[in-house]
Amino acid sequence: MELLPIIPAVIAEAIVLYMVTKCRCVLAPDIHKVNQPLIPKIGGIGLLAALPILWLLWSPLSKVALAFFTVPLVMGIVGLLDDVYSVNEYLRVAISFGYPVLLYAFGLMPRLIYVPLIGRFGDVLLVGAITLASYIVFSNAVNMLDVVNGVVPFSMVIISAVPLAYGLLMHDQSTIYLSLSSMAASAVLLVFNAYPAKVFNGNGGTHVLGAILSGLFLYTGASTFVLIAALPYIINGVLIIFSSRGIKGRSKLNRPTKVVEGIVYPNREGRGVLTLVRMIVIDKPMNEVGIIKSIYAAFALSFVLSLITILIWRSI
Amino acid sequence: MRTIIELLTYSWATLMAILFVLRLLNKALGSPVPLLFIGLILIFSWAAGIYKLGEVLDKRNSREN
Repeated sequence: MELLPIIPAVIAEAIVLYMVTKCRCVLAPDIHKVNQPLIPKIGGIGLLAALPILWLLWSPLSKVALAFFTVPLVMGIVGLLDDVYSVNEYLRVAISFGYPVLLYAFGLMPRLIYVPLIGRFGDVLLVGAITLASYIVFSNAVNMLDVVNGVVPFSMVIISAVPLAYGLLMHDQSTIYLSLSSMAASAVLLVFNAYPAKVFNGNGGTHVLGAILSGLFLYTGASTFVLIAALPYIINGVLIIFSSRGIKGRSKLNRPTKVVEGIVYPNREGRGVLTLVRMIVIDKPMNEVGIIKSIYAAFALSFVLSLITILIWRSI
Repeated sequence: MRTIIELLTYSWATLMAILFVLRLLNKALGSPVPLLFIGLILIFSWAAGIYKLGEVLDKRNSREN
């Protein structure tokens, strides 16, 4: 019974995304393809159709459900508006991060966090700092890696399997439901975003998935394991921020790679920014499919490392 | 893939070391505020280490090619 809301949510998301592929609206070029086809960049709208169902049909008044589902909803709506109308950067950041801050300030978010291998924390300031940092870090980290088809929803399916395994191990129904919700919503998006993409995630999609990832980190009790499963995102974000000496828009960065006849090479002209994709193609220049497979393999390896960490945690 | 595997395994191993240090400090300190400061310093050093390794691997590869 607990898992029933997932079925109508998945159906609603699939219908909305199918309609997006038919409407051919809000288009952006797929730059890694030779003929650069135009693709709708509002995949986030599918997730926005699924989230209210997953929330309202489960446990709408609990603090965990309120935080886990409404923060991605707010971030997704702002991201979607940004995809369509280009919202002012400061307004976007103020609403996206102001909402979780308000929820936390009014006591509508859990103020307890369990960090496996370190301990349990209930200090209001410490948990508040971790909560806000988590939303900022994960939503930006996911957005930064949304450069090739399918990678973001695929990674979310894999990452969600970690708290799911933890939830099954601990017999925690809430963790199982949150993990399966994340996994199901991401899997539907993957069908439409996988190579060759019929829909792009857009800022709406990446901000929703970033906030869901943050929710898995904060509210499932598996924070350490989720962090390790998400290591490729963290590594990519760290490489970009440190090598570009701060947080800058994509347009202001020296391109890390260059595409010649469909093959991606590291950009050796000037001081190219370091990214995960650049780290992949410095070993061997490859096409988009090769890069996608390499990133999938990186998330699969992180998943294994996360399971090893669970075993270490169980043994101490 | 070699570079990505090196980056991932380095990041995981060093993160595990940091987590165990924080675990010991959490038991020893008792208060969350110093733990937050020490945690921030350790996590920043961890991130800087990942970047440094990425930079070294990038330079190594550009010399090899």
